[in-house]
Order: sequence, then C-alpha cells, then structure tokens
Amino acid sequence: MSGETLLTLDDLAIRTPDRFLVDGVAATVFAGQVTAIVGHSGSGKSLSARACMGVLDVSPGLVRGVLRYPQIDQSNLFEGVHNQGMRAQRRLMRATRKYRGGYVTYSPQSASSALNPGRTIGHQLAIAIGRRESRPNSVITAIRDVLAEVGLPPRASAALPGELSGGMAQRAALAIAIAPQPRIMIADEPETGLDPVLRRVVNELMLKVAEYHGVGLMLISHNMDTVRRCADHVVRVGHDAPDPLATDTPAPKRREAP
Amino acid sequence: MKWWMRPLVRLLAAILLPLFVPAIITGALWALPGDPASIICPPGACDGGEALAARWDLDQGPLHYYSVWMSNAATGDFGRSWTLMSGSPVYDEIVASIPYTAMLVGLALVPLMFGTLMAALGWLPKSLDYLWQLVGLLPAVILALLVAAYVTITWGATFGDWRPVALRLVLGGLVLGVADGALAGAVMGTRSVFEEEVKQRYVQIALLRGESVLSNALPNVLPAMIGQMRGRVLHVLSGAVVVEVVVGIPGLGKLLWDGTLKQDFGFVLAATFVFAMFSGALMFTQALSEIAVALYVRRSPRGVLAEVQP
Amino acid sequence: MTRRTNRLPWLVVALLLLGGLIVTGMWAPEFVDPPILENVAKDEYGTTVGGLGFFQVPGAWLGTNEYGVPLHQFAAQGASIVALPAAIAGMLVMALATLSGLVRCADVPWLDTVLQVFGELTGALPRMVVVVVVSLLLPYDYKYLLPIALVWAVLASPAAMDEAAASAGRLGGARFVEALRAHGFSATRIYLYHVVWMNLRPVIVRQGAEVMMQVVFLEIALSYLALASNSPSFTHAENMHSWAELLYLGYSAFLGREMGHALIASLILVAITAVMAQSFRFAARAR
Repeated sequence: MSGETLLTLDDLAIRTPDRFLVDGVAATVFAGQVTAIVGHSGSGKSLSARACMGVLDVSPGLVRGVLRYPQIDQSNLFEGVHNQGMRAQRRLMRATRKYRGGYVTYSPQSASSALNPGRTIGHQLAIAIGRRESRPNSVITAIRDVLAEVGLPPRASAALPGELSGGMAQRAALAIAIAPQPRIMIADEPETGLDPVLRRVVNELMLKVAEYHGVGLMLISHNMDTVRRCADHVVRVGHDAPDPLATDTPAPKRREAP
Repeated sequence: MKWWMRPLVRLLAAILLPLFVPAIITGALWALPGDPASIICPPGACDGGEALAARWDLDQGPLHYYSVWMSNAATGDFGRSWTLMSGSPVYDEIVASIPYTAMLVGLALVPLMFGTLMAALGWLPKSLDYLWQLVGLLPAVILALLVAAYVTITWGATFGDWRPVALRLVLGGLVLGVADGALAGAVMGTRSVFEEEVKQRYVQIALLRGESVLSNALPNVLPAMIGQMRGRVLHVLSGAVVVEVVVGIPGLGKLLWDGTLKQDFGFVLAATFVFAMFSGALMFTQALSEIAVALYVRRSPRGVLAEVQP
Repeated sequence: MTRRTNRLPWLVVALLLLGGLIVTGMWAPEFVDPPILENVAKDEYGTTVGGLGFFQVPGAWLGTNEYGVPLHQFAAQGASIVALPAAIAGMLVMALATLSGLVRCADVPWLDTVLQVFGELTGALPRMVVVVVVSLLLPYDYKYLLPIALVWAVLASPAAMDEAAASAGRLGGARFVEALRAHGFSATRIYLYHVVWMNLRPVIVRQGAEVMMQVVFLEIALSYLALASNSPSFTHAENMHSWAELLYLGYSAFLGREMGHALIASLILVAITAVMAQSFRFAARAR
C-alpha cells in the first residue's frame, strides 16, 4: 500500500488574460508519503493544489496539464479542458466532484473561517463520514473516534466552529479531512495563524494521521523548517521558489532602529 | 442583540398586533372632535342619538367600546356598518372580500416567487437588472389604471361573466407582483443575500470537500430569506389596497378604503383587525421559522440568531 | 472620466429636478383659471369631446382639460402638494438611517436593540393600511400631505435603518472607529466624515431618494383613489389639483375622450420623479 502512486500532475499551466499564474508545475503523491509544495505567496501553490482536485475557477484558465488518479483509472482528467474556458472547467468540477471529499480531501488554513459557521462540528463530521466508501455501523462512534484521533474531546462535536479556539478549529478541520478515510489529503498551510507550539502539534498530528492511514499527504507550506523535517518529496512552484534543502539561506536583515 | 430577542419580539408583536390596532383606532376615534355617535347619526339629520349611542356601545367611553368590540370579534361578530351599509353586519362583507384579496395576493406572489427562485439559482443574468428596476419604477396605480382601462374596453360593463373578474384578478396580481419595485426587490434582494453568502470562505472550502453550495449556504440564508419574503407579502398587501380600488376588485383593501371615505368605523375596525391578524400570522411564522432553523437545521441557536437579518 | 466626475452630472440633474419641483410648487396658483370653453376640443356637432393638446392653446403648453383650464396649472399645484412633504420625508428617513448606522459604530447595544425593536414593530403592518387609517383619523379640515408623508417615512425607515446598520457593521463597527482614533482623528470627524460621508452616504441617500419618490407616488395613488370614489382627497384642499387628476383625466382617453395629452403629461411627471430619485442614487454611489 505504501508507495503507491495516488496522484500525478504534469506540466500544469494556468493563466489569466494577463499572465501565467502557474506554468509547468508537476507533482506526484505517493501513499504514506509527504509531497511538499513550496513557493512564495502568490506563486500558485493553492491554485495548483485545487487543480489537483479538479477545481479551476480562473478564466481563461487551464492551458496545459495532465492529472491522473492512477488507483482509479489512467485517464487524463484534464482531457477536453485545455483552452476551453470556464464552461469546460465547470464540467471538470462536476465530473471530479465524486472524488472530492472522498478520494481526495482538503484541510484548509485558518480553519475558523473555513468551516460552516452554522453547523456543529459533529454535523460536519457526519457529512464527511457519509462520504466513506463503506458506511460505519454507528456514525456517532465514528465521530468520536475521529475526534479522538485529532485530540479533541467528544463534546467538541456539539460545538459550532466559532466556539473553538484557533488550534481546536484546525484540529477539527483536520478531523473533517480524515473522516472520509481518503487516499489523498491536501493540507493547505495548516500552520497559518497558530503559535509556534501549536504549529508543531498540528504538523505532527497531520503526519501521524497520514502515516497511520497510509494517506498520501500533499503539504502546502512556506515554512522551510517544516518542509525539511517532513517532506519526502518537494515541488517548487514559482520562478524564485526557495530551495528547502539550501544551507546557505541568507540571514534575515536587521532593521535599523528609527 | 441576544439571539432570542428578535423571535421573542416578533412573537409578542404577533399576539399583540390584533389587540393593539383596534385599540389605537378606538382611542383615536374618541380623540376626534365631536361625539362618535354623531358619525352614525349626525345631529340635525336624525333623532335619537342617545339611544343609538347606547345600542352601539358608544355611550360609555372608548374602553367599554373596545372591550365589547374585541369580545364580539373573538366570536366572529365584527359589529355593524356605521355609514356605508347603514347597520348591516360587517362580518358578511369582510368574509366575502377575503377570498378576493387572498387570490390577488396569491397571484402577485407567483412572479415574486419565480423571480426569487431564479435569482437564488443564479439563472437571472445581471444584465437584466435594468429591466426589473425600470419596471419597478412604475407605480402600481398607473399599471392598475391600464389594467382597468383594458378590462373596461374589452368587456365593458358586463355582468355575470366570470371572465372580466378573472382577468382583473390575474392582471391585478401581475401588477402587484411587478410594480413599485416588488419584482426588482425580490430578484436583487435574493441575489445579494445568496451572493454574499456564497462569497464566504466556508462555501468555497465546502466545494473542495465535494459538498454543494446550496446545501451549505441555504440553511444560513434561510432566516434572511424568510424575512425578505415576509416583507414582500406585506408590500403586496399594501399595494392591494390601491389595485383593488382602481381595478375594481371587491377585496378587503377596497372595503377598507370605502370605509375610510365614509368614516365607517365599523368597516375600518374590522378590516384593519383582519389585516393585523394576517400580519401577526406572518410575524409568528417568521419567528417560528427562525427558531426552527436555529434549533433543528443548525442544532444550536447560540451566536446565530444574533446576526439574523429581518 | 474619473468616478468622481461621473457622479457630478447625476448630482446636477437630481438637484435641478428637485429645485424645479420646489420652485414650481412655490409658483403654483392658489386657484386654477376659471373654465374657458373656447379652449376645448369639439366634434362636428359642437359637443365637447375633450381638452386641447400640447401647445394648441397659447400659454397652455400642457394642453387643457374639458373645461379649457390649462393643465400646467394642475401640474404646478400638484408639485406644490408633493414637493416639501416628499423632501421632508426623505430627510427623515436619511436621519433615521444615519442614526442607526452611527449607533452600530458607537457600539451602544441597548440603543441598537431599541432601534431594532422599533424597526420590527413599525414594519409589522402593510404600509398602505396604516396610511389609510391615519388619513381617516386626521381632522376633517386638515388636508395636507405632510402628516401622511411623515407616517410613510417612519414606516419605511426600518429597511433604511437595517441597511445602514449592516453597512456600518461591515465596516467593522466600533473597531473601525477605534482604528481611526488610533490614527489621531477626532470622534466628530470619524463619525461625520469617515462613517457617514465616506461609507453610509450611498445607502442613506438612496433610501431617502426612494422614500421621496414613494411619497410622490403615494400622493398620486391616494388622490386617484379619492377621485375614482368621487370624494375629496386626504392630501390637499379642494381648491388644489394633484397630479392624480391629470392621470384621472388621461384615463378618459381610453374611453374615447381627447385627453391623451393629460395621460402623457402625468406619465412625464411620474418619469421626472423617478429620474430625480435615480439621479440622487447614482450621484451618491460608492467610490
């Protein structure tokens, strides 16, 4: 199971009328391994990650690219979408909807604003659990188990997202991402907005869960320490994306006192 | 505002409105110069004013009249006509008029609901907004006038034919549903509520989880949509008074207008009471819907109803 | 053209139309001319079939009614009936909306609650029903549009207040004010300039203009209903003529009378009112 190719992305190019947002990105996700996507802000990391889920919401949008989920079939999901505009991209979104939230899930950054404010965590987990290939005997038990995995107490299922702290919300978002028992999990800058201690906790939790379930983790981050520590594979997005393996990273400039 | 305050205010208003409105009118009637009984029996035009006042409960002050009227109204006795129909029971006229108003309002809601649904599903392009706004600028009285002219020219003064009556109702309903910004408000109000919600980050993230926009956004916009719908029904009821008189539909609004012109407080009290009952029912429905949405759909009212928009 | 320049023509149009309405009202005659039976349309038998049309009678550029009375005098009297009450009603709504927005920014929860409860209660009944009942309760010889216009403005204020409060809420409410205080601005400047002028202006001007337009249309509706019922209107004295009378005269054109010019004149006046309201709206657009 470990090491299986779960996702291949080749030569992804997405553009707006003015410029290329992403040009030539390629990534592969393997079961039980971490593929890190690095790049500066605005380099197209999240856009590439969303493209891996079949979500393209830019016009004219996709110019080139090949996306496959080898464990499902070998067809190129982007077939017929290149240079066809928003209508084709919406068709792609509809066609790939069955994979999102099931085969591939998404754990957002700043989870407090990413979760439905009007639904309790338990309700949102129940929806996610409903997307498993085989339904559990007891949804309530399944919710409790998922919460326990991410270190949340059972009573968190009755809480609204607005009632959770930032760290707890991030764990809840992670729980919702793993609840469907996906093969691929895309974690989009999970450390954003968290203090250094919590960052480490959330990262380790994510890695532990991914390893335990044999999930292929695509980690989007611009934290080079995290990438160096966790990633099995690194994909650099953007022309001046930092090299996480570089040892001669210049020291931050000291600011002159006013 | 605490989450429970708005539904509570609405529930209280719903219950108190049918009691409050006749009280205000009764109080104002006594505040007008002269004896209320003189409206029914003007001095110099008829004798026996004191006996008449006693028979109509007008001789013991507003509180007595109000309490008698309300206790009779609870049993369906809305009293008698003061001037319009000279002592005839008001109840029969009111009951006969309600179906016309109900049909008119129902027909008016058809274009409104259609526009609301289209806007909610995003099927109405923004390029058509100018059209709704232009039509919405037309006052109901002018469109109603055109309808009245059309029906009169087509059917003349025919009696016993159901077709002109049906045409008045259908066209009158269309006028109500479109004029005075009704349809424009429905379309643009719905669209703005949905657009605002769909722009929220959680909806975009839900798409990435394979969930639908509607299933995520709809429960959260329901309270606002219910509030807007109540506003639209009230708007239509308001316009119904004008349309019924101009087009010639014997509804509750026309009864209220005729009663007002003739200072027939019998009809005015009864008609406003019925309007207040209906408005109260709308508020009650809205309050219950808000509580139901909070408790059932969202499983917790905390932090939710505080942001509910009317 | 910059967006600032774009708004200027609309402001000019709006102010010109409003000014024109008020000035026309001020110059309206107290009594219209007596009938002049030469200034009517007659058929081959000499029977009056209507009034004369636009510019057919010297000095009566809007034509005449069936008695030869110039219709521009009706238009002027109609303006005098609606101009001031509509403007005052619009200003009342603007004031209430401004208050609501400021209260949201000032973070006074109890006052915010009071305003919201006020909004709930005033928005409970159909407006026209309330207006008709108020008309009934006015003293018989007190026939002015102003009290009815004020009632309408109060009934219309909840929507304006909610929108203004929502706009202020989107700004950030009290946090917005605090942030500006940290920049050294005075409270007066923050509330009046940053909150009201820069952010609430589009909402309150649009709502005020809409209510102004609604009051004019309300007067036309009430007067028309009275005419259709052969009764005196609640909104003006019997010597005055509303724009509704032009509409009523114009209706007879559908029945074969030569009064189409009256209908067109009334529609032009309605259109002018609508254009005025829309012009205020476009002039107050957000940047």
